Amino acid sequence: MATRSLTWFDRLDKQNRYRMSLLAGAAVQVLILLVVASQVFDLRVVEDYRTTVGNLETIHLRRELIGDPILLALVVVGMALPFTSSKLRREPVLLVALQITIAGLVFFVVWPLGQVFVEGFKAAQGAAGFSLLQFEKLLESPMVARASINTLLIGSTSATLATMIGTVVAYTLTLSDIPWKRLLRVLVVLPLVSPPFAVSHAFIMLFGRRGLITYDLLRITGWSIYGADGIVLVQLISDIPLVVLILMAVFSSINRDLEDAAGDLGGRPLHVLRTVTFPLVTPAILSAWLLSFISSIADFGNPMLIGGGFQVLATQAYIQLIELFDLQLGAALAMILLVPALVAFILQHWITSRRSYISVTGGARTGFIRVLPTGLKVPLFGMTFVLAAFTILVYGSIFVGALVRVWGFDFTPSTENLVGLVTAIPQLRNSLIVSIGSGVVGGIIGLIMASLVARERFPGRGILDFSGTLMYAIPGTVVGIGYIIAFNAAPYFWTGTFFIIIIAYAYRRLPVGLRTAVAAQKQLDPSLEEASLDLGASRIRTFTQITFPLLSRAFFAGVIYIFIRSMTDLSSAVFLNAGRTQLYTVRMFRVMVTGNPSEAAAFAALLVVIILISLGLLSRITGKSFVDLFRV
Amino acid sequence: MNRRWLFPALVVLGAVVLGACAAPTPIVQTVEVERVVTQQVELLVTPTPIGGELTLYACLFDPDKLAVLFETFRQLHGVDVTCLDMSSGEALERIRAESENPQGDVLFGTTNLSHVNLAADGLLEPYQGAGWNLLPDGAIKDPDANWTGFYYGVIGFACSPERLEELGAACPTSWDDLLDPIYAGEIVIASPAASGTSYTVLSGLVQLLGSEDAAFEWYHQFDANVAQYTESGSAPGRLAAQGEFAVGIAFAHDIQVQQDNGLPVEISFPSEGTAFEIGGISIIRGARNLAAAQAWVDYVFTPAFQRYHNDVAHRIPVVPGVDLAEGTFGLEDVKLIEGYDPTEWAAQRDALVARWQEEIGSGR
Repeated sequence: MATRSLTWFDRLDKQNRYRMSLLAGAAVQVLILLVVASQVFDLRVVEDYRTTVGNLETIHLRRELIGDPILLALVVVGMALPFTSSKLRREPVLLVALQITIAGLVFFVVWPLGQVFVEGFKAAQGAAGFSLLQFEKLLESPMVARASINTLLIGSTSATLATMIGTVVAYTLTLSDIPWKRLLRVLVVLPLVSPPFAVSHAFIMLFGRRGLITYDLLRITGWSIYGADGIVLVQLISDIPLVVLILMAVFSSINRDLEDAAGDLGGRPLHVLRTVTFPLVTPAILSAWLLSFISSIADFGNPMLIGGGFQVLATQAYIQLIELFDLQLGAALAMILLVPALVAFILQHWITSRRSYISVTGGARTGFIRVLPTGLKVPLFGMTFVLAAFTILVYGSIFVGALVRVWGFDFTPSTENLVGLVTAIPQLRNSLIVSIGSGVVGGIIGLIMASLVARERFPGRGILDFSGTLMYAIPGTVVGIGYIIAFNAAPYFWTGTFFIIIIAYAYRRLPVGLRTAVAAQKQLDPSLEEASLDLGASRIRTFTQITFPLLSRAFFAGVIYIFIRSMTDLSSAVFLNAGRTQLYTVRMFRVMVTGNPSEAAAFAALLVVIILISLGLLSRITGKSFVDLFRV
Repeated sequence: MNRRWLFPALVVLGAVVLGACAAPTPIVQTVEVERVVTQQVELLVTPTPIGGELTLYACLFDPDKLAVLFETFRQLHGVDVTCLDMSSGEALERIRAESENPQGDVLFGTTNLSHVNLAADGLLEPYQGAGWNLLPDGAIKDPDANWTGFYYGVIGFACSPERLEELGAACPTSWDDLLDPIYAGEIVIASPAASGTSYTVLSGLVQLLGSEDAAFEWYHQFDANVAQYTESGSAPGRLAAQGEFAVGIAFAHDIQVQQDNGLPVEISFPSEGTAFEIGGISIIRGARNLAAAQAWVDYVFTPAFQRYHNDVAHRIPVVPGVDLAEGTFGLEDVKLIEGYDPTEWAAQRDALVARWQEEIGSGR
């Protein structure tokens, strides 16, 4: 066994060691604060006024200190909080890790979101004081009232339909004896890999007024996919898989003994279903409804493409901010959008954190297959089959569309649209830089937070855990607007830089990284780390040599998950990218709005291929099957 | 006092004191910089080596297709040009945000509305270049030389021959035709609240019909035929070209891009007169490479540039005597609305759009 030579630190006596670590701790504190302060404040030379005498122009300059003292104060308070625990004060490494995590959350989550609220209550750009002007404007504008109602209406319709269909399909795919179950499972879940608005494009190609099926095959006239129906339809394609995944997990873990006992006690099958099976899955169904509600109201790309002028809050906020450059009104709209999302998320959190009805005990007989009567089996199979057929149609049309000259008019095979993708290389490169960057950064933050949340007991652990997962509920539009407000003025000027897009995605997708890492941490036997600590290894050494190697798979899995989510994001990207950092999805979106359908299909096809490759990689790393990959 | 609260309390106190001290109080210090203001007027672009880099904002067209122009410019002046693709709103927002530390040199393209707004905020560097001196006074250039117009765009109707055949209708050739119930649910136009293109139509109609009330009366009837108000100004052209709808109202140059895409779409113009836009160019105040920016503004008005721009983007040149590319429309091919001045109308946007939202948009 290799031995390490004693360092100077090991040779110190106990008293001095304590002093040294105290000193080091203080130095780290000062360093963190200096880093934050140097970002938050800036001394810059600005032009004051110009005077012209004859042909001599004098520019008067002045130095100005600009910055966000409130942000600095928040960071300092956040960093001071861990000191209140005497346990943490004895553990300098843990303390510093926690402080950095808190500082990051304050800087990149709390601050930008807080700015949305501050800006929404301003009368105008740079105006001081509190004002309800924006909300008065909103109340006066009938478009906004309509957009709010539309958003809630679309959200609840999509969520309800997705939950109903998804629950039945999940039941069919887990507990019934229909054929081709394995294949159907993959097909039903597959739409999760594509950027949602690609589904819109495929639907227009297939079912539009000039669509392949509606026009060329069925010759339907007077039909229109554009509008609320179209939005709900395409949202179902991406929301149903979400519901199916959640409920498949629940259905396959139902303990058969409970149902058998009810049956033995004389319950009729329907009675058993109503009184035993249904209560077992109710929390999961509610939770699935809330999650698809959140994803539906946050949706930006689909309403933009297939809405046909049907306004929702996400599109209104985009128009106010990007097209009409009214930052305050955009912020006020973002705020309205944030409220239902947060309410839904807190409800969902509350439901899932209550005691679960599903007792996974050793030896329980779970996931058994019920032999269903044909009268029931045929409609169930039919429904699942139709859903799977939609997947094939959507992806089929994207790939076929990419390989013909002009979809709808000239179906001769051609590679010109694929060759045309060459012009998108800069955007593709930008997207890869951003997505890999945010994957790695998000993975590291997730790992650090997970090791704090899953392993250590300290005051405020629950809050930390909650704030880590909170970002899941925040619509991308709100994140984008928050970052623009917080970091697009002196002293930052960060919008449009890779740095800020990477940070935004890393924090936005933190719940994914966090959940992956927490799950892996929980499977790790704590005695391994305890043994290392007891043998005298420091916390850092234990983490780098014991914990991290055991968690590296989970880490890379988290990186790839965040990578995929970042590659397909549009709603934050439209706000954060600019000029040199234009992202692939934004270019793709523009092509869908102005280009020919095949050109757009080629863009979507390339993105789908990239994501399938990363999923293949993920499957190799984790050893999970395709369907299980999505269970995060 | 409990000891465990002592340290955090101290830190918080420190933070408050620090925060109070660091509140943004300006430290005024005057630094005098001498600069000679030149009033030099260049009429011809002479190849002078300038060097360095030049960043153009709001690239008005696909940067790939402009690569030839950038290469020629590099050979003339030794300047590397980067063109950053962004919407006009995005460009405006960036220029405003970066006003203390400009990252772009030239606002290249977008309608004069953006330039007028920026000039009002004092964010543009006036330049009386070759183009400014060449063009006549009027809507086409800013009297204070903050910006200069360098192309025209005219509103046209995009028609899908296939759809029209099914309807048994012809391509509309006047604003009045658009009110024909035969087009019910078959017309697409952008929402004036979201798109400058559609605002051009709305303000043009007010000018044409003589009053706001008359224009809105027309619009109410027109609204019955409109299938959807899109967010993007060029989307109606695409929708008609793809045969999704029979008629799309958009800029003729955007409709011609759809023809280039290989889609069967016809263009017609309203006989009563059509509205138009002026696309401008301006130098951003504090441009890092002012000499190159001025050279680029001059370059944009050379016949070669104007012709090439017309060829790839189909926009109408402002420089007289430039041959039009085959199949493109010039100002003489269409009838313009008499007395229509896009620059003048730019100032009335908010009020007009608000009325549109209330009367038309809210009915949707």
